Amino acid sequence: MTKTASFKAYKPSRLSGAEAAMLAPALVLLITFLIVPFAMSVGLAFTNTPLLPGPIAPKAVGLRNFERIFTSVEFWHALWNVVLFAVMVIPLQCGFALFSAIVLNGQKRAKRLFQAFFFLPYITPMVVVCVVWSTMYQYPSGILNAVFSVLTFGLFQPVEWLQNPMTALPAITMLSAWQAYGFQMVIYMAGLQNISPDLYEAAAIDGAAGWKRFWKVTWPSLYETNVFILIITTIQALQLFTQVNILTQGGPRDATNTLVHYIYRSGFVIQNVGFASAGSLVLFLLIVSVYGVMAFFTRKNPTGESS
Amino acid sequence: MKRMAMLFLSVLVLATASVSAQGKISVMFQATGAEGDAFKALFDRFTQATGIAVEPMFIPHDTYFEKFSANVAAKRVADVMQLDAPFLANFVWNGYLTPLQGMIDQKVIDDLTPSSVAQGTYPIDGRLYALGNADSTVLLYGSKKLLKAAGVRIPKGLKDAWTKDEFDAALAKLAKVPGVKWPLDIFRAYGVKTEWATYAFQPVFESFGGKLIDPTTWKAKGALDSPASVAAATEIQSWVKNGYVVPASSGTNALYRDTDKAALAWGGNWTWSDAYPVMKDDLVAIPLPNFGKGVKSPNGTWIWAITKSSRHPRDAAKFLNFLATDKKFIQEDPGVFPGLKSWAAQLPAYTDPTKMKVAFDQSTVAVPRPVYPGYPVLTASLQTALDNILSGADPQTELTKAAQAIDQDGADHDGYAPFGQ
Repeated sequence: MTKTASFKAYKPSRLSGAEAAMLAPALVLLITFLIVPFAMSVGLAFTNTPLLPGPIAPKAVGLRNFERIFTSVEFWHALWNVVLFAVMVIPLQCGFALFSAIVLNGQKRAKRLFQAFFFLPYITPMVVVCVVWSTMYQYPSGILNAVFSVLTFGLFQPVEWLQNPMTALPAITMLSAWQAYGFQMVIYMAGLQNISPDLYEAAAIDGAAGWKRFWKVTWPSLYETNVFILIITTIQALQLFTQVNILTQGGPRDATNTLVHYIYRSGFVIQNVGFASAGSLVLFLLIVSVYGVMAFFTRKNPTGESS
Repeated sequence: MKRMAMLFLSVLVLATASVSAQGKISVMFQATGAEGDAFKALFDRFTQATGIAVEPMFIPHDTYFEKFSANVAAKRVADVMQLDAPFLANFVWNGYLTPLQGMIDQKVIDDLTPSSVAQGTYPIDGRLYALGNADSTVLLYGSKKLLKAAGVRIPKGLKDAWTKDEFDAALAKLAKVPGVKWPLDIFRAYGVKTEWATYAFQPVFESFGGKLIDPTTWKAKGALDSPASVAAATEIQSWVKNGYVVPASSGTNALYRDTDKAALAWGGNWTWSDAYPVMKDDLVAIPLPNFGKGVKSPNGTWIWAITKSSRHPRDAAKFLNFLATDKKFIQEDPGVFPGLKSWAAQLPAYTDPTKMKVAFDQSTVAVPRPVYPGYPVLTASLQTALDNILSGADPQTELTKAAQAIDQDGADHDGYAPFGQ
């Protein structure tokens, strides 16, 4: 609490010239590339502005874009897909990240090497990851089908992973979790380092080991980290786009269509920037409210420590 | 300080050098592979012949339209641009292109095939806005051996093309031939929502007597959702439902590879140059089936236009003239389908009845994709509908939905006047 108090005590005097000069570059960039475009898209959301300036002048259309979005089956399907994706990808990605973080945390020598190794997919461009995985998902003789077939002694019927409405989204989920878990892993490793060894020592004296040690010491101590990771991963999941655009273009039968892909197609393929801006605004409000709800329910640490 | 001075000097030298050059045009294009190399070589020959430098702006074709839009917004539009023919009406209606009459040689205009003229002409003012040195078509390719093994008749020309029943029966027979994994490749690997869907399957709609959009009222309702169009979509769906079609994740070489083979390929004219080196005389080109209203074929390719914002329209026109008269190009691009009369004679494959003559014959029954400014929405809606239909959705529902989307876009643009008036 003392930290917060000291912030409150700080009274900003007038900005000195040097301070202003140091703030300026960041401010200029933020305003030009974030604030102004955002304000513009809010304005565009109430018009029928096309992507390319044409012979018809764009005009205000009131709430028409929003009416069309909320009555569009495609929009609700995309929203459902994104929620489904989040529900699948968060436990998978974060669980895997936590597992590798714990395994690596106990290591001494090879820690750095394996950390870099696990982090590799995250710094590989998504496009490259997609191309690699698309060959793994090939039908009928891709690696994934072949492996399943061998493991089940030929009982497994090859699946057309990305073209089957049942498997397309799970296939995208697996790929996404694998690509991005390195990021969560690094955060978890930092979180694990922050747990005081005293706690483990006390737990050892009380006779806790293995799973018990994890559930009673590690997991509660990671509360802050978990909240951060949950919020970050959820927001990322809601913005799913690249994988879908490259691998399935939202198909088959809209099974992998996402909100960002829906907005992208409205803006760049159907060329209705006004409509796409309205979609972006809806997505923005959705993310803000999801964040708000999450922040509200996770504001108190059950272990009693202040956040 | 000395280094700064040197830098300043070299910048100055470079600046004057670029001023003293003859001129420079930027060219936006999408060709890749052998065709891309052929174009790059052509740019060099053009610079050698005229002293006008070419600044190539390569953009992959699946994001071409998006990138062009961004260029317009940034006011960085090229002098010369390639565009996919069915988008011409949209570009002209939006006011991006310059008419070519008076800009390029009449000799070149007279050399265009009727199909080339059709794809470059804006119907509202009847003027030519783009020229294609090349054109295209889609036909069926097959293996003579496999067709013989299945006991399927090989049509000789358009007159004895397979009927709907014959084609369906041929697929069923080919499915039983040993070594055939799938009887038909319709190149789903090109991507489910790409122009290929509209381009390759509009002929099926037309041959069933259906239309994508009514060419007088410019309404999709009553055309795209008509019984004939639904029958066409149902036919295409039945091939997939029966397990006859090569899946999207299985590559584009099913016709001529050794394992997981396809017996027939519903492919563009460029497929010939991919398959022939492997299959040699076993490869046969077959006209598209006649589903009732005669054999129909698509046409159109990426054609060349001069942008209205170009600051060097004369140099750009010189480029188009050069493009249409350069003889070396056709030797370097193996997949080229002649869009100029003078070229057809120089491409022996297209006059040889044992090779691709049937492809050139098909250009007499070519149906261009709708020349309509709302084409971007039309094709996007149809692509989504076809993707859903091929994945098992109800054809009537999907086509009705697509027709509604197309007509709503029309209404949002006041009917794209002067169209439909």
